[in-house]
Amino acid sequence: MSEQRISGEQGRSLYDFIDVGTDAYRMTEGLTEEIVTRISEEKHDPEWMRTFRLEALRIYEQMRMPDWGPSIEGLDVGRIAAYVRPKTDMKDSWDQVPEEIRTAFDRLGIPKAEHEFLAGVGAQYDSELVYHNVRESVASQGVVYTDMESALTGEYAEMVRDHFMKLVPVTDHKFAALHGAVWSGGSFVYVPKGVHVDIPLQSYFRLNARGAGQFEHTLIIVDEGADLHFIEGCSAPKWNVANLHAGCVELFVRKGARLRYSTVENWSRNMYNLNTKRALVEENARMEWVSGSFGSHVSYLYPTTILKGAGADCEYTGITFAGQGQNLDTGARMVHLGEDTSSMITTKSISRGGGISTFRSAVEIRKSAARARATVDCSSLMLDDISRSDTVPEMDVRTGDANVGHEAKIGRISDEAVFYLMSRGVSEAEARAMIVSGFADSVSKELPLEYAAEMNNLIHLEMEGRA
Amino acid sequence: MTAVHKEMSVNHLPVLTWHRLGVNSAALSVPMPGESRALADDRLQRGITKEICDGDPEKLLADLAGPIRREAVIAGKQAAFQAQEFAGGLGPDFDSFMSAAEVPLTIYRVPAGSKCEAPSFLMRDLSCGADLAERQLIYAEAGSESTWILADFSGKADQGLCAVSTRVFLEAGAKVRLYKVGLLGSGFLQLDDTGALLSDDASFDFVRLLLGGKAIYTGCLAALNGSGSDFYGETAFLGAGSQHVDINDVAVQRGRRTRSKMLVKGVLRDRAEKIYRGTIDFRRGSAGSAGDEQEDILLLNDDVINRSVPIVLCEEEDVDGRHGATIGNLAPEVLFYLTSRGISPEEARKMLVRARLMGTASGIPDAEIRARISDYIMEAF
Amino acid sequence: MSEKLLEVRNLSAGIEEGEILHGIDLEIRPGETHVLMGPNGAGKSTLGNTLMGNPAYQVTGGSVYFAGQDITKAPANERACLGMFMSFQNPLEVPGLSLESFIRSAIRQQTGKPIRLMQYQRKLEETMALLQMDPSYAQRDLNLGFSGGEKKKAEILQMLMLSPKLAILDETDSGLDVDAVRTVSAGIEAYHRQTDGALLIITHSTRILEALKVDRVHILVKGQLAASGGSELVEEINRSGFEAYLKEDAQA
Repeated sequence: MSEQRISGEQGRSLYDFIDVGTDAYRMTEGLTEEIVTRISEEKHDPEWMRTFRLEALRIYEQMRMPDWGPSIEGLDVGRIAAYVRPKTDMKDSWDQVPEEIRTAFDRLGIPKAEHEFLAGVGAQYDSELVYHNVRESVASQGVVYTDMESALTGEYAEMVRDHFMKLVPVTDHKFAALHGAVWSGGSFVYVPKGVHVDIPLQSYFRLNARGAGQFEHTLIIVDEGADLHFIEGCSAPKWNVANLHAGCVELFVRKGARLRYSTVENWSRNMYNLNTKRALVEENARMEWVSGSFGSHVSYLYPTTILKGAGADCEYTGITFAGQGQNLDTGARMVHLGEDTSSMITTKSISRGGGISTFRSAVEIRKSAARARATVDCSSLMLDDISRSDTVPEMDVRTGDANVGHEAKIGRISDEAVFYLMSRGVSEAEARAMIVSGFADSVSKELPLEYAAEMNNLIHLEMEGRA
Repeated sequence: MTAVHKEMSVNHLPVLTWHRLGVNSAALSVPMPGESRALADDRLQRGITKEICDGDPEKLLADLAGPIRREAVIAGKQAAFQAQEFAGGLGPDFDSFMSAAEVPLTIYRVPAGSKCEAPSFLMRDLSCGADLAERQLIYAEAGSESTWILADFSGKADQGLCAVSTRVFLEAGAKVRLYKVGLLGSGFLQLDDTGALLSDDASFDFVRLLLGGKAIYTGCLAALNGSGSDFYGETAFLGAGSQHVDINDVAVQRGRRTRSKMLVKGVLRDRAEKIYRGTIDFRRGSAGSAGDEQEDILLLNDDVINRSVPIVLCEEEDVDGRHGATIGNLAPEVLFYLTSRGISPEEARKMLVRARLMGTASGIPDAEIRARISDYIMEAF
Repeated sequence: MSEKLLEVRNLSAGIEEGEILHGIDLEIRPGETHVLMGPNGAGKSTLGNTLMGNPAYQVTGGSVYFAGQDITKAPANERACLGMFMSFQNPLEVPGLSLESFIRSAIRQQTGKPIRLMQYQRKLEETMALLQMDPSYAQRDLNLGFSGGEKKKAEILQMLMLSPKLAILDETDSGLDVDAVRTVSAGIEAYHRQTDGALLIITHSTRILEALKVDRVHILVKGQLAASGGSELVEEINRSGFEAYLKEDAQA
């Protein structure tokens, strides 16, 4: 385990450090055709992308704000600078990254972790990738791991164009349209046929600028028979002005391939996290999502999986911890198209200190998905009587030979369990934290050790009310 | 001459979810009811009185509900709809419809402390295209016990509108068992609304059998306001042909140590379509309460559509809420168990389907109604 | 030599995840009592279920004959109609279907004839009395809310009412107290007496065998019959368990 990871004593402040004055360039707040055009120029977009952005902007203007989830009244999109570019160009050596940015990442344990077990790290500091490296061994297998901007014009430009926002069309919802108009940064990964990447690739996002939006785009294509684990981590320091994150993740898992996508997200408590993640899974391929949501003020996050090919399979494991001032609306959506497809959703949510957590899901078994199987299992824990926990699942079955099971439980920590642990000499607070960690165990054991430890620390911080 | 239609939106989820799923509510167009030619047969147990409300029904119901029951906004969520004072499962549009149609409210009153073991019957024969629109309030006074069977039936091919609104007001310690049986012809639009308000230690058992009809919209909202109050809901349905079954059940648990249990068992075949919305809503202050919701649906062929939205809302720590759903085919182990005794797979399937529905029917305390249901099911399977 | 009732030839079977039984040979004549013993996980229940035609198990080789007919591929109900019966280790619960009407339907399907109700009722009552079952169980939903012991009794009740030629009892004695084992044993004796039916008793204990005359004992280890012999094998197992067979297997 890396010592850069926070330990319980250090507290959350570790995530809250703010770096001063690294903004090199800041767009005028608000969003107009001129701004989008300037973004496009700044980024040297290919012509099709410029057209794409402007079209997305038009759609954005027409679409309605969501009325079914947590309130986003505090978010004034017009006031959020869409594009904040740090002073530095992309570097491929950690030493060339400016001191304060490097310090920020160092404190999060990123480079250290990279040396220890990660195949490559793409750290996005605000909107540009400042650091990018893929280990020799991985690159030599033909694995491409680059920033989206380079991908647009590089060797894989055609592939990018063929897939970019094809899975998440800009018409999907208002914030997908916004993303399409102003997206910036993010990663492109291509794993060629049959290549197994043994160690995880990682990207780490940090939002630093006050009032800045982050709209990174992640596009991953795992070709036939290939295997990849991608880890995404997110955090942002505390600011008073509302911050918006409207990223987009598009994952293509080809025939017989496997992709695991792990996220531990700890955005600061003023963040509106309206992220869209979607995977397309082909014949006999497997998609695994592992998702921990701890931060942000408001989250709308429901990774969607389209099980297109026969025998495709998806497992979603998620945990959400909503503390004071947080309204986290998370869950998953599974769309079964292929025969013999299967999906499994397992989630845990915890509400504390007035926090609101909502589990929202949809399992759709289309007529073509003969013999599909799906299970949903969600458990919620209420830690006090000022918080709130809702479960809003939906199932839509349109074929006769499907099997769909659903189970949900909501409850509290049993007094007996606390007493049992206390009778063995553990303090009450510790006993409760232990029980909550145990509750989260099915998710944390899916994470790499580093992240499991981080998640555990976050749970302890939350339990102590220090988060 | 075409009948005047009223557009309405019924069976709202208490909180919204993604619009694209199309489950937030049901929109429908309902013809204003024609002159009711239904044959009404009320057989009340001794002591139970019947009167027609001479004032404004809505006001009477609102007064019963008291001032604190208007809760349009659920914390952290947008309001899905304007809450009613004395809510039913179908929602406010249906009340407005009944008011617009000037349907009077009949009040059945069960005197305090009286125990009626035998059921009271409200039988409605809608044969030969008769419409029915009626509102009733069962007012169960403190400590009373009563059993009710409301059955609507008609000839097999009959058509028409059957709109029934039932409110049940339970004073402290009152017990009401209500059986609603729909055995309508294949052309009927059935709108069946139930709303119950439970005071301390009151108990409401609600059993509903939905058989027949072309489209059924039914909802039940039980407000467990009193501490120690208890709601048990059981629904069995058979969706066949191109039938459409739309259900919305809500248990709002406000009192301490309240209990709710909702069971839904159904069979879908042919091109039938069903949507079940079931919500357990633990309000702050409902400490010590438990809620359970279980759905078990059998799909018999590929053209059916089955949608379910089992919601739990919770703003209280000390509660135990759960819901479960099983949607699929007959379990192969059960089929093997039956066939291993020499029963053919086809017969075994029929037996299991009938058993599923008859399990609910067998609790109805009237042999004639049970026989009618059994006949219907045997004919269908 | 009397005719063979059940003949299992080189039978291999298993579940989706893999083969469990490897080449079983077994013969049972009318009226014989056979015992199948073996350590946990040897495949005893798999054999019972495969003989009864449970679709969860697939035959991967060999064949099964019953009363001279090849039933290797026959569905469970056809086997039952030929005179086979299996008491389930975990009888399933069926809400809405009463025990009595279930047995009645099964008899009607097996015989293809309408049932004489009076006679049937009397036999049901008598049999339930023999098994010390409360008569109210007849109208209760099949196995629903029955205790472990009542479930096992309900299985024996079905056996006695259906009068099969061969009854496979899958761990019928497991989890029962001494009194219940005695009652179940009485039921098995009655079955023997009334119909001269054959038995294949799958068990890992020997309590249920005390009151029965055992013709043949088979030891199943890792999906193969490690030994077959007379009732003396039961005593041997009582003395030294299955270790000897497991060791032999390890040496082989």
